Amino acid sequence: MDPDRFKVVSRIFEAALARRPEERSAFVAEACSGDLSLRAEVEGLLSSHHKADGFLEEPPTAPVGMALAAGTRLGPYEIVALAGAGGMGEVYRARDPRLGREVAIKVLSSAGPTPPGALERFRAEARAIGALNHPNILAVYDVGEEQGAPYVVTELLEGETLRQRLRRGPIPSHEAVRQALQIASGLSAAHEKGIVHRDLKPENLFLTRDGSLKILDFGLAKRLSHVQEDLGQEVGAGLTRPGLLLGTVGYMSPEQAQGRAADARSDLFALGAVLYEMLAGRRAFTGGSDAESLAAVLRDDPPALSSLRPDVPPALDDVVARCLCKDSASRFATAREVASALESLRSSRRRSVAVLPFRALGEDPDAGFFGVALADATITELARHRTLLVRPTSTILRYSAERPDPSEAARALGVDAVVDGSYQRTESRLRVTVQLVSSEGEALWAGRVDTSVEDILRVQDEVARAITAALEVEMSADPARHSGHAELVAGRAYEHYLRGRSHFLRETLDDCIAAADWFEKARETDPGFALAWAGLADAYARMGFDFQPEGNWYARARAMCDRALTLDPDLPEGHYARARLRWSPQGGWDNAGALRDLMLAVASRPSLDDAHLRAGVILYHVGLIDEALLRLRRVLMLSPDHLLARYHVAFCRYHLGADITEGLRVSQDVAQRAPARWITYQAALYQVRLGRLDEAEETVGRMREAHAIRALVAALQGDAPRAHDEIRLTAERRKAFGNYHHNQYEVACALARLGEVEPAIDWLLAASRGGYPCVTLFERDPYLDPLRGSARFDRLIADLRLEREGYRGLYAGLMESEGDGAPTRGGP
Amino acid sequence: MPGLSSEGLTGLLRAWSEGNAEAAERLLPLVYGELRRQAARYLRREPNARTLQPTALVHEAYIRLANQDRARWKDRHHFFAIAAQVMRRALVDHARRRHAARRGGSRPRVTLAEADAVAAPRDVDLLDLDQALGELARLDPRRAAMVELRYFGGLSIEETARTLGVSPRTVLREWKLARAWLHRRLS
Repeated sequence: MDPDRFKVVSRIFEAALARRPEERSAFVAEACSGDLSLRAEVEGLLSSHHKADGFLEEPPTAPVGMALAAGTRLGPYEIVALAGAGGMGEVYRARDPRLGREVAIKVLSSAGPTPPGALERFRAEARAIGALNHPNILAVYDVGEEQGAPYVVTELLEGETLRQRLRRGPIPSHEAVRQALQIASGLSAAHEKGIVHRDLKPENLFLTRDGSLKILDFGLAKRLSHVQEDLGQEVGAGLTRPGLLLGTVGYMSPEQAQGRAADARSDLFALGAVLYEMLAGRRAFTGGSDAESLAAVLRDDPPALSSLRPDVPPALDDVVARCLCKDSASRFATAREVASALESLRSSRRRSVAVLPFRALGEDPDAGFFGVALADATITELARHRTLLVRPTSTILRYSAERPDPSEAARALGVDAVVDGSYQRTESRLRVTVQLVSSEGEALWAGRVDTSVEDILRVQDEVARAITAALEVEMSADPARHSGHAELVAGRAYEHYLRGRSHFLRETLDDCIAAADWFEKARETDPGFALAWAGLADAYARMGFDFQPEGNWYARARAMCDRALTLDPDLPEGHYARARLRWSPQGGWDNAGALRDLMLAVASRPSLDDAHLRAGVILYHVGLIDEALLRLRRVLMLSPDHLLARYHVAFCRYHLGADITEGLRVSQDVAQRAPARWITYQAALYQVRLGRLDEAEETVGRMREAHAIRALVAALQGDAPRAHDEIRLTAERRKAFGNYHHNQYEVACALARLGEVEPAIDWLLAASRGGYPCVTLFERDPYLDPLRGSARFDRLIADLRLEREGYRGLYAGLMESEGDGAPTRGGP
Repeated sequence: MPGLSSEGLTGLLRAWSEGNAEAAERLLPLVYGELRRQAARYLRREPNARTLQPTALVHEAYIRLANQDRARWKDRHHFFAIAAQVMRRALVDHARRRHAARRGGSRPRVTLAEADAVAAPRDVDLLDLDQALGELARLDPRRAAMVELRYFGGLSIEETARTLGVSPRTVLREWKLARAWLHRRLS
């Protein structure tokens, strides 16, 4: 056949295919007009066409490599089984008959054309790791060659790669630090010998069964001093530069990604990426393709660990961030520096403990309350020790019904140990048995306290003292004194208080009322019991803020609070209650005063998560979003599952214009657990912001507090008359809602969208005076864009910025006096 | 920047598209090395993978070389054409070695994963295909190129069309005869 003939064939073939199958034969016969060989050719091709379905459609694929059979000998070694395959060759489990030990053998073949440099690279690997002798680097025993196939014999490891481990999820932060420390230690030894790994990644890190970590595959390692020489030979013909092509996308440093030479600090970048992945459970740099991942390495900072793992200590976040600096000069200078940063993190890590609700032995009609109450008291006592991280009572409530296995609970709560106690109560005696169980199931301490029912305080004292001793917690030189419940408190009063607390921890209206009743009883039993007064203040404040804004709760709360602080001016619970009262419509939204009180409260009681939470809330209301996020992170450190803290973190992120679907999700979670109007309102607000206007209206239904949402929806739909109706209703119902400033802000947005600039600014001003001077949001909210350029708006923004700086300065000062570790009372 | 070669990838591609045969000769080893490295990279990423497909290799190899040279995307079709050729050569060479090995000695073979990464197909005899494709190229160079791009280069219909400077419909139409013809030759 010649090309011309082929053209004819193809024309008839294609024309036939364009016809219906039953017509084709006749068509071909006619088109070939008697040329039988032409007709046979076309018919044959048509028939092949039908049979060729799928032929050549799939690109060629191939088995990769060929394994050595078991029993094959390589030098003195005997192959046992294939253990894995990597980029440079295959790894076998083998036996060394001379020493009777099992070894691992990595084989590279010279069969077929070996890429230039591959052999050399292989030998370099062997030489490089052979020169190292470090517990965190895979040991090399031998290098050999068998029929042109070079191989390396190394120690045989049992365990799994970090990659395999990561498939099961992220690694607890103290464990991740321990592993990172081992990596840094191994790298440090290699770097000191002038060897850079260049391809550190989870696949190259091996976790042995005994808990140590080994760095594998110094296949890409080069003696630093020889890098220049190697450039030319390695890939041959000077076509390309090795720095660019070696390393793994997602872990390789920006300088490697750009083809510049890798140095020791490139390994530190990879270490940062690995540590990030251990903590976050996701890669630091990802993309749909290598090119996108590469771009991410060059351009993006990964999401802050704090946004993924709120329990990661900020200092650890900082270590990771420093490793991941794009500019190698900004990273740690040496692996040793990373190691010492990690080491100090580890030693400064506070021991953590959780107290499970105490079990009742025998009949106890009050079992539900008393078990939690004893735990709560013990928690309060333990929390006085700053070097001990104690999970707040809210985190252990879930264990009040069901008895967990202590070590499992320790792991679930992310603590080093749990206090697992039981008690037996008779008419007048109380016997408490306590053991301290580590997360590994080891009993660290066990003891028993016998006392009179009246003397619960002694129980918690003794238990707390024994536990802190068992955990080797450094005692403060000046242990904070008992807050509120001085030794003189009558046992009954304290018991009433504990009952009140157990209700107050559940956040419903009924429980709030019941709590107030018990606090009242405690106060009646012992009028000098400051904590009872503070409890009352808190309960009344909650009644006013969350449940009945119309009631006269604030005045009563204020009286209670004053009394509590008169009795004990340092009472953290008293400061907390006062902050609540200050940061309220009745308190005139005294942001500064409330912050000051809250910081006083957390300075003397770092475990007071409510105070951290409230401080975080106020901080973002005044526009200090980053500070708020850090503060809320403290709450999540104390209670990783704290739903409200997660809710506020999401709301903070909303203020920054971040993705708000998470906010909507958390709101819906909270709404499900504790239905409340404000949370419904919030969910609707997110829906509006996501453009899901109909859903938002459905969410708020006929809720009277949601006229502002409806106004905003109407404005967004361009329905000015309806928007104005709803704005009027918002103004009329203003008393119906504790956090009215959010309504005011939504109205301002609605008016802005309707183009009514001046009224919009009026409402914005009202919102900012009503507790929401959040200029950080105002500056960037696109809903307010129609206001920008208006002189009055610009002036407002400028004023609020000044105000925000004022708060920033105030807060920085308060933080200093909060201190970090040493007990500080009455600082500057 | 140093690296590549004095002309860089872009220069070579352009020279080659302008008919400079020497440029192709210089491009081939460059592309070959890169594809092989991509294969190795892929295997490191997926250590348990036993097979490999060219599509990802070709694209990633281009991205890497192009990034290195700041080449523009519009040049990529020339690159694809080269990469497909390289892939074909590599696969066929490998098949040839396998044939030889099957006839040859009993020594346990240890193969180099990097070289094997670009390797043999499942149910197509690559040596026969290569030969048939050679004949097809004599009869109809465009159809042969199409097969090379689509099968060996792993390119989509659109990419094949753009590389050849024809419409996707033309590729779809002409592909049918090319495939039927090769199928007939190989069965």
